[in-house]
Amino acid sequence: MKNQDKPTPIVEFKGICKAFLGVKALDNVSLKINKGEVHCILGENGAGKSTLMKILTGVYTADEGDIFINGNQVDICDIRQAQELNIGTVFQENSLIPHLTVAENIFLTREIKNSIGLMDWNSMNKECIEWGRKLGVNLDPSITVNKLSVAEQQIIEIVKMFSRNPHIVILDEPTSALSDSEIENLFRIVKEMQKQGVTFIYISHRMDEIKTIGNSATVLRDGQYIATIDNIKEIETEKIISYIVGRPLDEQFPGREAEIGEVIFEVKNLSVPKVLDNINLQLRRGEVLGFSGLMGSGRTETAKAIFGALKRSEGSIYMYGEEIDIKGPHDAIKHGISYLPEDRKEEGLFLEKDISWNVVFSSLHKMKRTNLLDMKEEKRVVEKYKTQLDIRTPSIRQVTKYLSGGNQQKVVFAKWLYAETDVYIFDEPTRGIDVGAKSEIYNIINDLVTCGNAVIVISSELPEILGICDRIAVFHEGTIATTLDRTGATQEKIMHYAMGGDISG
Amino acid sequence: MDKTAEKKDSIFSKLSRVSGTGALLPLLIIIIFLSIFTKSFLTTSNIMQVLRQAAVYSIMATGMTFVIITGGIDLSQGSVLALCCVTSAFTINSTGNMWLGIIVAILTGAVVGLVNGVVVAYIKIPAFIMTLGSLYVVRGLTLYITNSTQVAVQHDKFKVIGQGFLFNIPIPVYIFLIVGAIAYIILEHTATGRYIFAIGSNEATTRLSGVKVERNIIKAYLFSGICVALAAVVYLSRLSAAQPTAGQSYELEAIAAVVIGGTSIAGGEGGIFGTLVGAVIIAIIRNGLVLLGVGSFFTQIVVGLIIVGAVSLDVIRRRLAMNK
Ligand SMILES: Nc1ncnc2c1ncn2[C@@H]1O[C@H](COP(=O)(O)OP(=O)(O)OP(=O)(O)O)[C@@H](O)[C@H]1O
Ligand SMILES: [Mg+2]
Repeated sequence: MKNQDKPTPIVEFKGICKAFLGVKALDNVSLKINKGEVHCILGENGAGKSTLMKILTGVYTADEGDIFINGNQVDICDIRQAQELNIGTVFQENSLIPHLTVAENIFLTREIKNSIGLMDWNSMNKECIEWGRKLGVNLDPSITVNKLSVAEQQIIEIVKMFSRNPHIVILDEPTSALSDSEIENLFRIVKEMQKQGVTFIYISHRMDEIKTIGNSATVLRDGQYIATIDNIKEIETEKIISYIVGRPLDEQFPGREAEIGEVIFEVKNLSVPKVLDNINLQLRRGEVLGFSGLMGSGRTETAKAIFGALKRSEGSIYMYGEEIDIKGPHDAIKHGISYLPEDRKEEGLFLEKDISWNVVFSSLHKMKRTNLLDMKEEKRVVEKYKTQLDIRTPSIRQVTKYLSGGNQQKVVFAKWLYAETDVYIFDEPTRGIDVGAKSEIYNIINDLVTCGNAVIVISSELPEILGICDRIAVFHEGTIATTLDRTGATQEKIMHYAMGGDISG
Repeated sequence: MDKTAEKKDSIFSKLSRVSGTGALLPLLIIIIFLSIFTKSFLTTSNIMQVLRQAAVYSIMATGMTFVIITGGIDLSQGSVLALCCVTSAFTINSTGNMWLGIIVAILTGAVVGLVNGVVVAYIKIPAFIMTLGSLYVVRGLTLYITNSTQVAVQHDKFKVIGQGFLFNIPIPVYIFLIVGAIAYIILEHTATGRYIFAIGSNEATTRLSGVKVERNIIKAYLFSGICVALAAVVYLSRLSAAQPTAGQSYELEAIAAVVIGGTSIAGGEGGIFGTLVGAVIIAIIRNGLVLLGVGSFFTQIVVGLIIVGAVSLDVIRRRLAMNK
């Protein structure tokens, strides 16, 4: 009773341990979170951040340790109990029900009823739209969720959580799918709610975000408590990063000495009705071309149309000066083009299958002896990528569903590296990836172009685009507004064109 | 959920990752039970009898496994069995050549499988609907070409396939083991096998990984058709006659074997080993209940309970694994 001067923390973890199949995800973690703060949980992929949050919300049960809320010990066994304690969560994994509408999802289990006990859709729809407006998006409450993009679904998740008026809010990488303007709106709401006394637990791998929104932080590494940062705005980013990765990190964007050669890939007059209008682009040997632009500006669609995953109405594609016929992804891969999709759960992974299965899947022809698959070769290849990309897993036989988000991303990355194509299109390649692994990925991109390949990177993170691309194509409403050279490009210029500003700007 | 339940579950799920091992335990229990309570169960001749009975179903179920793993279903199997028997019987009777008869049976099964596959893959109507349609069309066709009468087959060598023995083991047993082995190798050791699992697991990812999804769906239905044809050859040879009404509701028996064997009806997971175990379980239950002297209606009840029980266990296991 000596610490009377300090207020009781709203959430306190004491000695939390959790193991999965003998792998320690959390090892004796203790930390306190004060009321009204935005407390960040920081750590590498697989550090145990999401697991800790899942224990707080009752998805998992801790093997050891206690949780206190407002000083009272609690036993949280399921999500419902967490909700009763006014804990709201946006998980890293989408938890929406695909075939229900936006309104049905948001009001699931607490539907508003009218006087005679029927569903009051009017009120529910109105409230949906209201919340959407606060986040700066137009929500159509009656559309089914499976028709929405990853970003839109993420927004629905956030609305769903906020609309329950929680006192403690957990945001696990809420912005990984959002654009800058949506992030701004989200942060505005967070700050508003913070003033009303709501406490936030915030997980992100983006240092700029943490600096903007966070007050304090806890760093985890390999499931262990490493450090508490009381005032995050005062401490240098380098210092935070060194806590996270356990060593000072040199260059965020490593330089490269790739020689830029002749044009190896070209797209002419690519159009998709209502989505893309007359896209032209060239890609040279040794070059990294960035696709920048707002969400829905046609970046991903261009990639998909090139890859044959989206039917184009017009346009021709050339590889080494020769026109190639791409009817579907199989043709694209055959001609040496690969595409890493932005939505790793729906389009990149087989979540029910293990790491090994996923990594070799696009390149099975490479590990054939006679007509049978060479399992030894498979093991050799996958172990190689596991080491190269530092995939944190007890074994390459681990089902990918059970990997941390960042490690899942690395598995998809490995899959396309193994495909060994000439042109790589990476759609948000570092989404959900920790700071240390990010530079690894940049290094891999550098290696690829140094070996004479060409890479297209689609990214919503402007520093990333500016840091690794030789040229930047800025998309606006289904066309390329302009292409900027790395030397002359700035965040402001990119935003200017992305918002539809004219060329003189 | 308490902690011990979690730990147990993890060992459980680790074991069950080897597809089909889940069905081994019930099989063992049934075998032990019948060995204790009946005198004649554990005799060589009875075991051979059981395996011979399991042959037709298990060959069909092998094909069904492929289709179900893609996330589809093949309800036309029973009807196709009858059609294959009939076309094969006609051929053998008119040419006197049993090999030609076998080839015609396989062609018949392949054509129906191909049509099922093409419509499901390209027109994208649900497999349930398409193969339900085929079930009726093929049955009707069979009744029409036979004029609803049975076609007897007179061919001594052909009889050997269904009735003969090699080293004291019925020849149908060799056939179902060979078909099973081939199917196992395709599923577990070839690219096509992985594509079939992939389609049932996540079609979007499969497509974006460069797989020709349609072509592989068709392969699964084609394989199902061919398996049914082989089952038909065994069946025809054993009875020496093709009945146009043969094989009714055999597809349900095949589906039962597949799901008891641990293949997920939602697709993406499962395997041949489990299916063969499932088919043997059903055959043993039939046989065992006869030996115990209970009526055949009772067999139906037990088979039904086993289906629901086996799949319930599977679903509960999955739910535990998810909430872990
Ligand atoms: N259900 C599960 N079964 C087995 N292992 C699991 C399960 N959930 C998590 N793990 C393992 O626990 C460790 C911690 O995972 P967690 O998801 O908490 O990481 P994280 O810090 O959120 O990482 P990321 O930044 O990549 O999201 C990882 O090694 C992961 O593979
Ligand atoms: Mg996480």
